[in-house]
Amino acid sequence: MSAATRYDVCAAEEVRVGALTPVPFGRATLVLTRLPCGSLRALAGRCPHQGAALQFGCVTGLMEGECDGAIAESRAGEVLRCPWHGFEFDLASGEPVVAPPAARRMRLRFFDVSEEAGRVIVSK
Amino acid sequence: MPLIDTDVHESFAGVKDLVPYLKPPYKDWIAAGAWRGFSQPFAYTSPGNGNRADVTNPDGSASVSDPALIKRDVLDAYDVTYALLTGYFYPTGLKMQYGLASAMAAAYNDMVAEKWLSFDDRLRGSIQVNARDPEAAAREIDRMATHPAMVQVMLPVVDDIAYGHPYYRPIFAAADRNDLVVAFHHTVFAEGPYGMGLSYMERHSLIPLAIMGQVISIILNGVFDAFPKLRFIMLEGGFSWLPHVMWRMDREYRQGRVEVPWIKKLPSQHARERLRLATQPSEDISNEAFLKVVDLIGTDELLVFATDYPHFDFDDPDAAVPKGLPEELRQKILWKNAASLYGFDVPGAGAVAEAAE
Ligand code: FES
Repeated sequence: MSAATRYDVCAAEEVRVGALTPVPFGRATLVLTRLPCGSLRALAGRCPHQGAALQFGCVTGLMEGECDGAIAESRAGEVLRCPWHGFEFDLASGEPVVAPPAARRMRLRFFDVSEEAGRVIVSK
Repeated sequence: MPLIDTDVHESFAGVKDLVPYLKPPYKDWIAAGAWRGFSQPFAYTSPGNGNRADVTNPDGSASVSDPALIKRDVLDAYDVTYALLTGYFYPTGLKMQYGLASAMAAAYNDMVAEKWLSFDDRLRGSIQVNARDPEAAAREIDRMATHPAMVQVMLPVVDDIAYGHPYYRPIFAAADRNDLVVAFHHTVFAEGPYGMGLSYMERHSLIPLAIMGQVISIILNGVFDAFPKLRFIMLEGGFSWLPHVMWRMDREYRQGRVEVPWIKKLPSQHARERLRLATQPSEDISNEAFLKVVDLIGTDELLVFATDYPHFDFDDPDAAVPKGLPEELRQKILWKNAASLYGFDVPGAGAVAEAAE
């Protein structure tokens, strides 16, 4: 198995909880964010639904509640909503919050990412 | 083969038939002719004035107020195992005087119990309510649910606030605690999105839209989630539109769940698990088209058969469900799905099911 190539994509301080940081990655764009626990996420920049540029989406939490007027947010910073149709994706697992349509795979594509000496390193 | 007919319309000869069952002061009002009953805001165009033209009472009136007619034309004619009485006198249609409307619902229920449910043990009843007063409706459901042949609550399709609105929640709570099914049926006041149309034909073509509106309302306003055991049946609204409604609701849910997080499942999953649609009025589609629709719905346990007797758009059980469908699917539509919905004991069902396999 050939060793993964490592790419230094940006400074670690540019990647913040609740924000999306686009970085060029070959001819594509990667989107970086940081989970509240501190770990990094590096994901393919296109939405697995219809390909929207995820850098324009928003990071939010999980909305839950039993009736109108009583919606509470949990897991702030762990849900990504796509800029086009607003589908929700769990940034911890990559799975869509609502099950995908039949026979469709609709998972965020994560890249291995680490923080080394103040730099963000993506491996592929 | 057993047969369950989920939509048979019993009636009375006139609203004065309720007088013996009404409580004061409404008893005197109706006895004195203070109200003559509902009349539809349009004319019928079928040869039998809205009914099958071969169905008439001895006095020539069209409504079927004689249980012997239903026995002759439905129960015996088709060897029906169970038939669900659904009425077509819906006190919810009163625009005011909710006390009168609730009292008439109670009187009607007592009349059905005394005159119909005791007439033939193949008959099962629907509890009529005045949905405009949901608390009173809930009390009426609690009262009538003690009758062993009352198996569901009837909600007539209204022309304003759809049944997903929290205002109606006490009705669903009452159905739930009494382990009853909730049935929906159109009315002479149900409307499509642009009203009733300009012809009877246009009105009749719009009825599925009124039913779709109720399906969307109760699922997207969380009724299915608030009552996870409750089951629902839509009568006389057709069924071939359901794939679209499921797909559309699912898509909306994926993009807008944050607004309605009390919906815990995909709307299509709610529908497949606990929504049932009666096939009548059949749309004369081919075997192939019928199978495609069932495939798109995603379960063969959702459709149930209904004749809609004595109305003119009656479906004959021997003709309306295409003969070319697989035998197991025909059995599910003609009786198995309804037997499981209502928890009916079907004599010999085990033997029949085995023979079909
Ligand atoms: S393209 Fe992202 S949700 Fe549709």
